[in-house]
Order: sequence, then structure tokens, then C-alpha cells
Amino acid sequence: MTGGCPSDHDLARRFEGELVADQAAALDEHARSCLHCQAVLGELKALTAAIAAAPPLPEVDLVAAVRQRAALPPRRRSVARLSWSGAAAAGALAAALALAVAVRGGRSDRVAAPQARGAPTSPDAWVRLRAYRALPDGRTVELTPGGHLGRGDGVLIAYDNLDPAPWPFVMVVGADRAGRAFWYYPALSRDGDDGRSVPARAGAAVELPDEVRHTLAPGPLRLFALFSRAPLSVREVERALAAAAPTARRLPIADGAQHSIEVMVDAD
Amino acid sequence: MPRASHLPHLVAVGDAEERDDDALMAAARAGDRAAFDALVRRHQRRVIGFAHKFFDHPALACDVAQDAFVDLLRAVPTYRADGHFRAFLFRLTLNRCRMAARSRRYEDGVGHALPVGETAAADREQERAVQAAMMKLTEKQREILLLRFWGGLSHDEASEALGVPVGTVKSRLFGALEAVRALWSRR
Repeated sequence: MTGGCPSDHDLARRFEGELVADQAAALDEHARSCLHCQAVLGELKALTAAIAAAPPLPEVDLVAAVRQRAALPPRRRSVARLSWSGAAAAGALAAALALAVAVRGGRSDRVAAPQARGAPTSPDAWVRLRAYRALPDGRTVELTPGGHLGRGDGVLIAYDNLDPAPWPFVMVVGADRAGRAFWYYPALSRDGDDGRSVPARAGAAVELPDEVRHTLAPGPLRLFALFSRAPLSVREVERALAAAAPTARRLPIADGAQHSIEVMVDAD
Repeated sequence: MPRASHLPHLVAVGDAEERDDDALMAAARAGDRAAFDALVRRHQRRVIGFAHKFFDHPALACDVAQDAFVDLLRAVPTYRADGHFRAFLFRLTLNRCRMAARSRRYEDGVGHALPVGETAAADREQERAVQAAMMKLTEKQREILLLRFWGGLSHDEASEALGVPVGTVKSRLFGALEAVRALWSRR
């Protein structure tokens, strides 16, 4: 920089066309022979072009989601509890899909997600868990972090699956501070039940169909949505839960994407 | 919110609607649902992109964008068609971004600037570097840069969107440009 250079502030003003004509002409005259000022103006041009560049986002149509979110009062779809047999059926469906993937792909190992050009490096950034508390009067209330849930309340689940290569499988499980697991998808009601991830769809606010109800212990409950390329098993995830710290926001599971929220289960 | 109808998957959206934004808002006020839907489809990428660049988090961005459009839908009955629709929509978007940034709802996502990936393609590397620098700015600085260069708002429109005088917009903008350039230059 030379002693006669305009300030960075004035260069920014020049870039935005905010200098009066005389000042602009003087600055331009100086910049023609000043490598420093040329570099600053060039950087401003590159910076603003980068800000104006479209981020790597999938095509999402928000119309239905907006209409749905605007609808008041919210109504829940059903109060059906997914039975153990329903859970088994869901697990069987997931297993069947996994088998189909394995046969079509000619191998059974997990498929790596292609990385979008310039995409954020964390796959977690593309997924989101949305949980809703089903109230006795038929309304549903979105559970935000720190939100409250009754011990016997039903829970409805939706998710965002916006990865450029959408995740084909999802699981949703809750864990309390004592390490107990409460399965929402697949919905399991007995200790020792096994099951696998359910098929996931791409999109924003994708709903899972059923209300699931567990008898929860009072205190913090962290709900995890686990997205994967191949179905995870309940036992695999429960091992990860056992290995994780009670306050962990993410489970130690290789590959996949996760999002979790912690809610508070009230005592009766 | 879970209901009987499922939300659509990722779909290609087109916009054959030729009426301007104010005309669509007027039609929506008269009960034309398709007019409002056309507005959402016309501006959704711009709004999602704004929130994405604000948070560096695509799932949050979709969430915030939905809320902004819900606000727009609720504003249909009282909207004044004065040719300032873009500033109005960005004001709603900005409010939702600010609320989200302060809400525990987004505690797991806000403020976690994502690192520049080593595998990022060369043509995106610079954009990621700039985004990383943007995430180190104050919210006010990020807001003005996004309104001006992502939203394409004039200084006057940005003044409307932010609810501050034009002079404040300019001083904030020049300061933000200096700040982001300094951060980016140090990369």
C-alpha cells in the first residue's frame, strides 16, 4: 500500500458507486497505477459474486409445507399406535428393501453418498428431526428443544431429508439419561425386540404416519433421527446409545447423518 | 405438522405465472390460492438461499423459509401493493432468521459454521471460503451483505427491509464489506 491510497472504506464506497463524481474520478486515476487498490477492488468483486452465487440446494417445492404449517388449528392424522406386529412388519419391509438394494447393487455394504459440488462437509446439515406432541384434545404441538412432553403423550415424527443424495433409511429413537431407549421408528414396545431402519423419503417435513406412545420416565429425553444408506439394526443403535455419554447430541455410528433434540418429560 | 396429506417430494418447479408480485398478492387477497402458490414458487429459492447463507445450514434454511412464507400468507389480507414486495418478503425472511437465531429450537444448528471441505470442487471453493468468512461476521453485517448481494436489493429497499435509515444501510454495508474482505484475505 502506498501512503496516498484511499481507505478501504472509500474503496468499498467506490465499489458501491457511492462516491461523488470528483472523488470517484480521483480514486480511479489512483487505482490505475496502484496494485494494492486494484487488488482490493478485485477482491470486492470476487466476494460479492460469491455471495450472489446460488448455494448447492436441491429443488424443493415449499407450497404444500407452507399451506400445511399455516393451517390452524393443527390436527393430527391418527391416534393409532404402531403395534409390535406393525413394527415387525416395518422392520421386514426395511429388510426387504435392503435386500433389494443389495441385489440390485450387487453388494451389501454401505453405499457412500456422493458429495455435492461445494456442499457443506457435514451430512448432518441436510437433515432435521421434527417431533410433535399429540395432545388429548386432538391438537399437535411441535416439540422444540427444551419443550415439554407428558409421560404418556403420543409423539408424531416428521423429518427433513435434503441431502443432494437423499438418505434412503431413517430410524428415530429416544433415550433418557438412564440410557433407556424408546423406539419410535421402528416402533417397538418390548425390551429385546429387534427391528431395522424404515425407508426414508426425500423432502422437507416428510411425515411418518403413526402416533407412537411410550410410558416415559420423567426427565430429559433426547430424540435422535438417524439417517443411513443401509438399514441400521435396533441392537446396533442400542449399543451406540450405551457407548455414548448421557448428554451426547450425536451417537457414535459410522457414516450416515443425524439430528437430535432434547425435550423434557414431565412427571404426572 | 403431520396430517392426512403427505408433502411432495423434491420436484422441479416451473413458474408460468406472468403477473407481477403485487398483482399476485392482490389476487391472493381475492381468494386465488394459485396466485399465492405462484408467489411461493417464484421466490422460494431466493428465500431458502438467503436463510441458507445466513445459517450455513440447508435444513434450517427450509424451516425458516417455510415460516417466512407462512408469515407472508398471513399478511395477504393487509399487504399494501406499493411495488415494494421484495423488500417486504426479505423483511419477513430476516425476522424469521433473527427469531431462529435466538430460539432454542435451532440450538443444534445455529452458529456452527461448516468448515470448507477439502473435497469441494475448485469452482465452489471460493464460495465456501467466502461463506466461512460470512459466518464470522456479526448478524447485522451478514444481513446487509445478503440483502444487497444475494437479494439484490437497492440501498433504499434494504433500508425498508431492515427498518433503518438509508444512511445506516450504507455505513453498515461498507463496514461489512471491509470486515468480510479482511476475514477472507486472511484465509
